[in-house]
Parts: sequence; structure tokens; C-alpha cells
Amino acid sequence: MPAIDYLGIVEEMSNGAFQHCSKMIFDCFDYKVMKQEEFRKVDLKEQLLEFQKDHTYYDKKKNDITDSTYANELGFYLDAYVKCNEGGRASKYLMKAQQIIKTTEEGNANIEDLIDLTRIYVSMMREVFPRMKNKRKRRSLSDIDFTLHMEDACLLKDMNKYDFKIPQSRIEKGLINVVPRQIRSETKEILTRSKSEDSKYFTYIISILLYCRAMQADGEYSLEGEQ
Amino acid sequence: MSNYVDVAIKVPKEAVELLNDFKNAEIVLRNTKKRYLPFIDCIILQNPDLDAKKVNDVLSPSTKSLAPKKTEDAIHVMKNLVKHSSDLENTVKNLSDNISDFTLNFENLVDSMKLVNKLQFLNVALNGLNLAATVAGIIIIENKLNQIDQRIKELDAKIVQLKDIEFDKVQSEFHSLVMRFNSLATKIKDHDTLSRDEMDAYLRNSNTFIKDRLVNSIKNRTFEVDTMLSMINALITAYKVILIEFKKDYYFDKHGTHGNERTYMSLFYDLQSSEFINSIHDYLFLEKGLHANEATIAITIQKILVNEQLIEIYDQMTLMKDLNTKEKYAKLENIVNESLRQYAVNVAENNAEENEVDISDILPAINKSYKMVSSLS
Repeated sequence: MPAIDYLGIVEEMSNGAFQHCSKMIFDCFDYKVMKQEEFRKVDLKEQLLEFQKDHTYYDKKKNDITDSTYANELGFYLDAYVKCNEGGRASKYLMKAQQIIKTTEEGNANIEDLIDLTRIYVSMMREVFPRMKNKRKRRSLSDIDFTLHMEDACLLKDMNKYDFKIPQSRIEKGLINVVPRQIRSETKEILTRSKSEDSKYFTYIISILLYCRAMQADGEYSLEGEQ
Repeated sequence: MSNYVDVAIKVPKEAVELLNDFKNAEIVLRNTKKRYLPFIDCIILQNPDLDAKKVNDVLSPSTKSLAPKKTEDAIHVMKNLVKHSSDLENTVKNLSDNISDFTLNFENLVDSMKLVNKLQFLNVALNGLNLAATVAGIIIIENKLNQIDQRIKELDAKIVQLKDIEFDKVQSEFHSLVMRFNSLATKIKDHDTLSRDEMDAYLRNSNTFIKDRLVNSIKNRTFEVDTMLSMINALITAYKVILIEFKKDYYFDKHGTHGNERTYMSLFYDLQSSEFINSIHDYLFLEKGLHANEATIAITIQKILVNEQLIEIYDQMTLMKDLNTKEKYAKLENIVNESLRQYAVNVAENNAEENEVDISDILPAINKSYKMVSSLS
């Protein structure tokens, strides 16, 4: 059973959350005729099923998406681009993220864990990405702002368009493998992969879904949802 | 070429082929201990002159010994051999002496070997000793570690004791503040005169206790965060009540603000500060294992609680400034209290469920009273 019930997330979205979500991810789907306003929950579900079928990584024996795919994707970005001051508040949150990834790999994570991971990921990339984008020197994080903001969706979109290059210094220091973490299925079959546009889209779409769910839980869409 | 003299040199057979291939060669002249000339360039002659001079005639006396023996000098060599044989005899004699010495030495050597064997035994014994020392060392280290472990346990126990003592102090200070508040609250309820100094002292103590002990212990995780937080929430309400009374008293007397008011108000801002809020969030999210949304809800409730106190203080301050005098304020207070009392009586007399009396029913009456009282000014 997959950790993330993607279709369930879509189903439980308020109108406001869905509108925001579809606005952010509509471009990822290659529609030739449909407009964004016409995009429905059922269309998003269809796209997610297609996406899972075609592009994500399967545990062949179970013929299902592996639990840790999304968590590992985020883990890769955190490993590659985030540097924290030792003992600082940010490093504690990074450790928490790693803990969630491990729990996910063991198949014990639930959707709230993945939302927590997404929150940590967004909070950290919010600090790191603008510097990276402007080719400024990377700075070690000591503190993070853990609250989600409406602008964070744009940050995720911006990151999706960005051509990430794995920092050579981190590879040289042995802080990260060139090939992202290996995903192990429950049958211990190693599913190796390399970063691709597909995996980027996958990370983006799922992170937006979870982000919108978190924002909805925080009451950000309550007014929009009634409209 | 004039500097060169033809000299016949006997060379090993293997070198002949090489000499045919090369035109030039180099000779290194050596004595037993040192080299005389580094390399002397020689020209190899394809047809050596039969009248080539003898090496001994060419070379300097000091290097003669290095010169090879020529066949023509066989007699000379023989003479030398005889001479050398006598030398050899001497040498053999010396050698026999040496051998006897050697025998003696050998005996010594055997003795030495025995000693070495003994020493080897000793070495084994030492190794054993070393092993024993290692085992003993391990035992000693183990004992020391056990001692340290014991010491740590003792210290832990002492720390726990100290912590308990410290916690008891916090608790007793908390109870003392609660009791002081109760006595002040009773006076307020009974409309007894409250001493400003008494209120000032209470606020000062509360402020210091909440800021320095409770808030800091949450930040440093000295005591259980939940307990500290519940103490803060209990005290902050009492603190607000006394602060309002203090402000009223000072304002109606002096028509200004007390010097400490800013400090007293700052407690609320400290409780809303991101540092404090983050500290609680970290506790809930990282330590207690709540999910982010659950932690956010808990934090929001905490923020609302503190904000409610602030709102009430600001409302009362506005009211004080609007009414301007103690009498008007007291009058309004009486009207409000009377309205509330009336409301309570109505609820008690009638069945609340049937009548569905709501507090909003009496709000227009209170507003009317407020307008009436404020118009007097």
C-alpha cells in the first residue's frame, strides 16, 4: 500500500485548495485543448494515475509505487543543497527530515509525516534556493522559518524550472552520492535511478499537493473554498 | 692527442665486444678507500701499439696496486706471490689465532645464545607479564570505568535531586504568587483599597518569575515544558488583572503611565516573541513528536491566549482614557456588573434552555450605559 494516497488528497481538497493547486501544476500536464479553468479534480486524479504508471518507480512484485519515492526525492535535494550549522535549530529540523525519510523507507510513515517533511523541505529551500539561483555563495543555515507562506508555491514552481546541478564540493567531500539514494522496496530489491525531468515533475506535483493540503489545514483557503 | 699515452689494459672477455663498438671509454681510478680521479677519458685503439708502455710506468705510484698484472711480469708476480705467501702464512697464523679467538668467541656466543635463550624465556615471561599487565590493565580500566560510571550515576542522582529542589522552589514561588493574587483579588472583589506598592511588588515579582524562571526554563528545557507552560498560562491571567488595576489606579491618580508599565507590558510581547514560540514549537514538533499541523494548532491557541490578555488590557486602557475619572469608571463598572447580575438572575429564575438567553442580549444595554457614562465627560 502506498504511503501517499494521492487520489485521497485530491478528493479531500477544498475548492480554494484545488484551484490553487491546479493553477500551480496545470502546466505540467500536456493538455492541448483543455484550459486551466476547466481542469477538474477527476482530471488531476487521472493525470496522477497516468503519472504513476508511466514515470515513477515501481516495486515490480507489488506493482505499486514504492513508499519512499517522494521522501527520497526530497532527501536528495536536502542532502545536495542544504548545509546547516551544527547544533543549530535548522540542523535539528534537518535531522527530523532524515528521520522521516528513514521511517518512510521502513514503510511506517503516514501522510502527516510526509507533510512535515514537505514543510521542512520548503522552509529550507526558501532560504537556500534564492542564493543558489543568484549564484551567490551558499550559506549554512542556523535557523528556519517553519511556517508555510502562500509565496512558497511560487518557490516550488521556480525550483521545478531550475536546472539543478549537484554541487561538486559536496560530492568531493563525500557528503552526497552522485546517484541519488537507492530506493529499496519491501522485497529489498534495489531500484536505482538517476535524476531526470520526470522525477523533478514528480517531486514538484506531489510537493504542491501536500503543500496545498497543509495550507488548507492551516486555514489558508477557508474563504476561497466557499467561493 | 699529445696528452694521451698508449697503455695496454687487460679487460674481461665480455668487455671486449663492447670495446669494439665504442671508440671512447672511461677509467675510474680508485684506491681502497677513495676515488682519485673521477673519470679519465681513454681512446680505444683498434690496433694497439705493441710498444705500449707498462701500466706501472704510466700510473703514479699510489695507484700501482690497482694496475693489472701483465703476463710479461710473471716473475715479478711470482716474487710477489712468494712474498704474499709469507704474508698468507702470517694471515693464516693470524686466522688460526682468530679462529681460536673465534672458538672462544663462539663459546662466548653460545653462552650469549644461552643468555639470549634465557632472555627469550624472559621475553616470553615478559610477554606473559605484558599479557598479565594487559589483563590487569583491563581490569583496572574496567574498575576505573565502573568508578566513573558510579560517579556519573551519583552525579545524575544529585542533579536529579538538585533539579527536584530547584523545581520545588519554582513550584513554591508559583504557589506563593497564586496566594498573593488570591488575596489581591479578594480585595478587588470586596472593593477594598489596594495599595499601589503592593500591586507593583506583585507585578514585579510575577514579571521576573515568569520571564526569568518559567520562560527561560522552557527555552533551556530545564523542567518539563508542559508544566512550565501551564504555570505561565495560569499566572498570566492573574498578572493581567492586577496590571489593569495598577494602571487604573495610577492613571486616575496621575493621568499618566507608571515608569514600570512598559516593562510590565513587555512580558506579553516576550510570550509572543518568535524565540519563545519557536522554542515551544521545537518542543512539540521535534521532542514530543507532534505533527506540524498539531503543533501549529497548539501554538496558535497559546498565541490567542496571550493576545486575549493584551486585548483586554488595551480595551481597559481605552475605557480609562475615555471616561477619564475614577468615578465615571466605577459607575460604568457598576452598571455592567448590575446588568450581568440581572442576566444571571434571569438565567437562574428561568430555564436557560427554554429561554435561550444569550450574552449578546444584554450587550446593547451595556453599550448604552457606556455611551451614557462617557457622555458625562
